[in-house]
Amino acid sequence: MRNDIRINHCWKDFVLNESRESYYELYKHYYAYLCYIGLKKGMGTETVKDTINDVFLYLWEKRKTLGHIQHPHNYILTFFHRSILKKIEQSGKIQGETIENIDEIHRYFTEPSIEENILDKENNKRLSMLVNRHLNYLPRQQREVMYQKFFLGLSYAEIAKANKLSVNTVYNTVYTAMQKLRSSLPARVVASLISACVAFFLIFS
Amino acid sequence: MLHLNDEELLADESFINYCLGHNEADIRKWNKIILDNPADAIRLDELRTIVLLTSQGIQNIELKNQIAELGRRIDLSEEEAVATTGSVYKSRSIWWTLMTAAACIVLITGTTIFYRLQKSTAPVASPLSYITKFAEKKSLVLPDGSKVILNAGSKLIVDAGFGKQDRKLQLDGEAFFDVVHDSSKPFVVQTSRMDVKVLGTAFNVKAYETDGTSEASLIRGSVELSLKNEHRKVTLSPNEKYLLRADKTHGNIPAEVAPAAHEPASGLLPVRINKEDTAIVEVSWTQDKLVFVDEPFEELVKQLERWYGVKIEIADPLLKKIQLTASFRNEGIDDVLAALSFSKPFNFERKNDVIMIYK
Repeated sequence: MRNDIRINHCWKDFVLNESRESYYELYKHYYAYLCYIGLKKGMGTETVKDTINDVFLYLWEKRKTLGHIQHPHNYILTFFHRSILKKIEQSGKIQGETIENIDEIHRYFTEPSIEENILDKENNKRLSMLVNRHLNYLPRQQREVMYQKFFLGLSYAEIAKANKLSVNTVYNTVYTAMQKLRSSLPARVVASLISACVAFFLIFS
Repeated sequence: MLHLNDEELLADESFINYCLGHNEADIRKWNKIILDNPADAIRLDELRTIVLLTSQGIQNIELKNQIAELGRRIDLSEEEAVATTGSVYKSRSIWWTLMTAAACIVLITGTTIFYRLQKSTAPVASPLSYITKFAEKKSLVLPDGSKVILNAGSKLIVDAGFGKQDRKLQLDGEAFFDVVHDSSKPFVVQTSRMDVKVLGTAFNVKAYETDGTSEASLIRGSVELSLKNEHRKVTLSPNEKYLLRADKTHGNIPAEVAPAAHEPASGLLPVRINKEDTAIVEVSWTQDKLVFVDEPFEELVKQLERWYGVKIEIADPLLKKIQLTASFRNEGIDDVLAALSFSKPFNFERKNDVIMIYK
């Protein structure tokens, strides 16, 4: 429900005041969710991203005529679904799974979860900076693979298909990126190993 | 003890699903593993933190990039809408080709400024300045309809009174200009070492005050350069450029100074053509391509710093002078350096915010 209030608020600000900020808020709110749906339907990464931007570009261009929309959430979803159906028909490929519990997925991608709390710890802020710096250096395709793995949580097989890569290549991309990332972070693992040893000694001596 | 090492866990599908809270079966599986292996609990918790931070970080980066792309498309579509209703346009098709080719350029043009410019036909009352940060480009439309793409780390000031009697701009950095023809109002780009005066034409000016050289390249039309130190004028023909070296010691450097074997002296030169796709090297940055032809490493590094917004230091003075030829598109800085180090061996390492390059 919190979601609905936020969406409606942003939508009003966008349609009535032509606020680009609220418009981008809507985009941020829906991006992961729409990506997930498109990729699950078996579309390629580029097509999905293009379709999402086409939909939102249309919304921006027609902002003056959208005043009558009562349910922006349904409007955006229906619009997106129609767009991907058109693309799928054009390419002649009908594949991909039907997605159940679509509302649950929406909630999953848009409601603040544990992830935000994780930044509360002072120690993690520094870690987060290191991680972001590392991720910023990734070339485009690697970034896309990482996004699909670590944010959308798609399987290696799904990512391989969406990017026309082999499952091995996708796995290696993720493995190498995480290996580099791990080695650029402080080796706190050692500390935990020591404490484990100490515990071991205390128990058995 | 768990037999998987850190890297294997960080790329493990089931472990990632557990961290993201994505799959009931995986969550149950890993909760049990943690219970059964108390010695691994701290390590797994750390790795889970890394996965979650990665998840959050990659989402922010993805959104930032996507919104930049969306903003660029909005700006383009509004530019198009204005262009079709305006009448000042003569060279739209060429511009359009250029812009579509430059599909990857991240253009963040402030819409408000954009509107202000589009609507005002009167001369600019007070100077307007546009600044691009490192790793950023901007596309602008001047009050007379002329187009500018401003490369990273540049500053362009539109003089007060632009469009009254003449059209004057000041540039520190690099920009590509496509100028609307108006013979009664000459278009002048002033830089620290030379002024470039044109009537209607397309050209590129590269004049970073921090660089050793400045240059102006002409794509079509004709331009006249006034070299400040030499008090003389040079006219360029299409596909020619003028390269100007900074005064190294004092006074004027005669243009006829004997060029060192690897460093062309100041003077007229043909524009360089990329052998791969016959594109003009001097303006390939407008298509988001990074092209170097026999570029001294020292100068190349300055361009990389601006392009990627990173700090790079060459530790070995001998390396500064080696010359490199390469072309890149959409590669990350690490990949670019790795590729360059194949052709001329060197090592690089990231220390804090600085990338160090050494033998």
